[in-house]
Amino acid sequence: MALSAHEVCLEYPVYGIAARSLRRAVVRGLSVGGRMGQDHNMVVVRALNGVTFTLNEGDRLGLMGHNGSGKSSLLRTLAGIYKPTSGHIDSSGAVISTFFDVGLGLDVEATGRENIFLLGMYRGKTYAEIKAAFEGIVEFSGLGSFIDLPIKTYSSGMIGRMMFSVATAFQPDILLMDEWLSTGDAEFMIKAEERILELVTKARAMVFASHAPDLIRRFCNRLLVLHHGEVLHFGETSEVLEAMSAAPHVVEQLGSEVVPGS
Amino acid sequence: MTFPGMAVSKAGPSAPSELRAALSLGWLMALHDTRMRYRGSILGPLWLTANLAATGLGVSFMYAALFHIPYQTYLAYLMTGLVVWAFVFQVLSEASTAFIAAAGVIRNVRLPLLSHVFRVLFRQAIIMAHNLLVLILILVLTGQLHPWGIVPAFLNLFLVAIALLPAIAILAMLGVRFRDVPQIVTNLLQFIMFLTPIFWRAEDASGRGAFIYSNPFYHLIALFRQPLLGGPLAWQSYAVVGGIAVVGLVIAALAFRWGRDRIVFWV
Repeated sequence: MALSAHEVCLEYPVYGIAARSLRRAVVRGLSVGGRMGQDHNMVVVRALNGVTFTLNEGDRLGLMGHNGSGKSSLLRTLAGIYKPTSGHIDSSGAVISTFFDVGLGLDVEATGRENIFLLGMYRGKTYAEIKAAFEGIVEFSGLGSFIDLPIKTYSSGMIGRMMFSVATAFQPDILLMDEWLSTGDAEFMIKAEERILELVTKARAMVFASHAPDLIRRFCNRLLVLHHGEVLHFGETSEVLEAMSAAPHVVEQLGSEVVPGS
Repeated sequence: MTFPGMAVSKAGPSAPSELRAALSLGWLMALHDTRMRYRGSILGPLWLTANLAATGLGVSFMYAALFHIPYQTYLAYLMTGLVVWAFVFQVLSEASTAFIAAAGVIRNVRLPLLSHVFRVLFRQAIIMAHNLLVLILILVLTGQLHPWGIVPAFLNLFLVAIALLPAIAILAMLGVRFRDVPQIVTNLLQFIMFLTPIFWRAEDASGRGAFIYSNPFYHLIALFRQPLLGGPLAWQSYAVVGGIAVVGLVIAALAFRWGRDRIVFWV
């Protein structure tokens, strides 16, 4: 077993502007009468509800579900960023690499070189480890002499390529990815896909959230479909896709999501 | 070394290894911040030092006359206090935005949250180191330096930093939950500055002694200023700052244990 989730529930508060106000919090504390739930301007969202699955060594899991079905919440919980409200996740101490948000901690005033070190540090790498991987990162990103310029001079494609290169420079045990990468030109996309495949083959497990069934079919041998935070289907990719086509309402919901950039 | 915090296990990473990771990451991020200050600027962080020196020289010129204190004595007194006050002020006012500023990182990777706390402390410690160089220069030029006081004064600075550390953690948590906190802290500190003997001497304010000595900021500054200028340092200053450190650590530890898994939902 490489990665497993057992009855994982996740609830989290979503705060409105009023709930951020210290004045209201103080006034609430002082008021004598009963507390009004709706006054708190805070909603508790149940993002995951009893999610259970087990991945064996070498399994590549696809995650599908419409927007807000809990894909990102599940990925973040697997990564240890969110702590489950109940249930638990077992990854047996594996090194987990996340690939979620492209905007992670960049410093636009700093050079590409400095940002590569910054990003590496955020990924838990030491200075020496980043230094050792640095040449490879620069070469893969194709940034060349741009590397010593502030990244505010970069195009968004160049920033994407740089971030991708850092994120994939270190082999993790478990790879967690949200959405496919739409970084740069077609040529880079081919290179990027090869790099991902290389990581995936060496990784013990991968979890990959996407709206694109063809990508899931190509990369994943397992598929988990989430619906309102609950597991709707889990199993062999082809079987689940088949089961989904037998349940048209689900396909309809998922189909509407297969839009580039959504 | 990979950070154990990166891995997710039921037991979680051990406390000492997470602390080590937070320390080294905080230090590296503080170095990055400092490098960025130097970028495209001739003086870099020394601009802040220049600003401090300008304030000191300007204020001293009039206030020395106002208080009937020799200019050189007053200048040395003011600058020594200002260096510590600037450190305390900046650390505490940046503390409440420590987690807010790191929102992107907190939401996307599992890193020890304490690294953002150490980042604030180390960043300001580096700036203070610049200020200290100029301070020593001024003390030598004015003939006010007490060489035997240098070692105790600098050792006491460590105590000051340790006392501030839990305060950073607590303010960072409050600041990320309640967005009024950063403004409140800055305003409060402005207010405290005028109640603390930095621009004036405690012994000159007759009748306010009890009030002055019950101000913890007085003791934070006294720990550095008194030995460096050859003045008496009461044991009460150690007791107050030590007490803040111990009580603060307990509160911060409890608050962190309660809030560490919630912070990600607050940023």
